[in-house]
Amino acid sequence: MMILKELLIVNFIICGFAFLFNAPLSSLPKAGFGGAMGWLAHLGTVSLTGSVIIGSFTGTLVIALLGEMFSIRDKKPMTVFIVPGIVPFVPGFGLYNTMLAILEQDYSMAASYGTDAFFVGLAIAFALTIMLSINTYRKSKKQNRQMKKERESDKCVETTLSESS
Amino acid sequence: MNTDASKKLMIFALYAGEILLKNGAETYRVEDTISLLCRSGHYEYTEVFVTPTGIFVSIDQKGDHTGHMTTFIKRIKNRSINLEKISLVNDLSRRFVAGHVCLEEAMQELKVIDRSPGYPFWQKAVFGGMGSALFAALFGANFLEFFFALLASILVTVTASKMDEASFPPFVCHMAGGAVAALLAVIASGVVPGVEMDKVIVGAVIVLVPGVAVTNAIRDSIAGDLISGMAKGAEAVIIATSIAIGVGAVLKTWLLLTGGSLL
Repeated sequence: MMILKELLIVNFIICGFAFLFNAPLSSLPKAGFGGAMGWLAHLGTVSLTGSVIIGSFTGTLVIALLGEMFSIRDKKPMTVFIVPGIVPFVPGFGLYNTMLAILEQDYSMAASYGTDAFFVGLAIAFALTIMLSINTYRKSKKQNRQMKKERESDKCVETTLSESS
Repeated sequence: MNTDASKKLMIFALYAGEILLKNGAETYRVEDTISLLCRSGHYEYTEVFVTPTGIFVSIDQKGDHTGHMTTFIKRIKNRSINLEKISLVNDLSRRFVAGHVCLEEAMQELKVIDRSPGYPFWQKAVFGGMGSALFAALFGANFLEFFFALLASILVTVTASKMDEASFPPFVCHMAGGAVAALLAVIASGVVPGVEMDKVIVGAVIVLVPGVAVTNAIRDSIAGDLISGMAKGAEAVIIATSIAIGVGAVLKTWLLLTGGSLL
C-alpha cells in the first residue's frame, strides 16, 4: 500500500515537471509510467543493497530503457520521456543538507552530504550514458544493414541493365 | 548546387540547431541533426561543433567543383527547457531528410515551431509547483507541509520568471526565488505548529534546482563533449549556489533573530 502510494506520487511529480518542461501532452502518461517503474526498481535496489546511489543507478536504467522503447514506438526523441522521469532521483534533500552544513561551518558534514549528492548525480548520468550507447550501437547496426541492402539492390539493377543491353 | 541554395539549406540547418539548443536538447542531438540536414543537401564534408553558447558549421562538397567552402557561426544567448519544440524539430528534420517536405515548407514550419507559446504560464506554475511539493511529500512531508510547499513553489516560479522577464541576470532571479521560499517556510513553521521548515523549503525550490543540468553536464563529459560538459556544469553550479545563497541568507538572518541551530 505504501509502495502504491509512492508510485502514484512519483507519477504526479513527473507529470507536474513535464508541464514545467513543456513536454508534449501525449507523452505525459508514458513518461509517468516509466518514472514509476524506475522508482519501483529504485525502491527494490535500495532495500536490497541499502545504497541510494546504486538505487538511483538501476532506477535510471529502467527509465532509460522504457524511454527508449517509447521513443521508438512514438518516433519522439528519448529526452521527452527521460528528462521528467529522472526528476524524483534528484538529490534535493542532500543538496539542501550540504547547504545547511556549510552555513553551520561544519565542513566535514558538508563534504559528506555533498559527495553523496554528487555521486547520485554521477550514477544517473552513468546509467543514461550506458543506455544511450547501446541505443547508438543498435542504430548504427541497423543503418549498416540498410546500406548493405541498398548496395545489393543497386548491383541487381546494374546487372539487369547490362544484361538487357 | 549553387550558392543560393546552399545558403538557404545552411540557414535552415542552423535555425533547426538553434531551436534545439535553446530548448535544452543534448549536444550530440544538435550536432547529429545539423550534419544530417547538411548531408541531405549532398555536402559530404560537414563539420559541426556545438557548445551551449554557440554553433559552428563548415560544409564543402566532394570532388571538383567551383563552389567555395562555407562556414557559419551562430551565437546562442539564452537557454531553457521546452521538450515539445525538441520533439517537433526532430520530427521535421526526419521528414525533411526523407524528402517528404521541401525546403521552403520546412522553413515555414520551423518558424511556426519557434513561435509556438507552449503551455500557459499559470499552468506551468501550478503543475510545476504540484510536482515540486509532491517531491517533498515523497520524502515524508505531511499534508500541511505539502500545502505550504505548493504555495511557496508557485510563488518561487512566479518570482523567478517575472524577474527573468525584467531581464535581471539569472543569478539574481534564482537568489530571489530561494529567498522567497525560505521566507515563506520560516513564517509557516513559526505560525503553524507541526510544519517543518526544511521540507517546505526543499519542496519549494526543487523547481529551480538544476538536477537535469547536472546530469546532462556529466553525460556530455562522459560522451567526450568536454567543452559543453564543463559549460553546463559551470551553469549548474552557479544556479545551485545562487539558490543556496538566497535560502541561506534568509535562514541565517532568522537564526540571528531567534537563536538556535540549523542542523
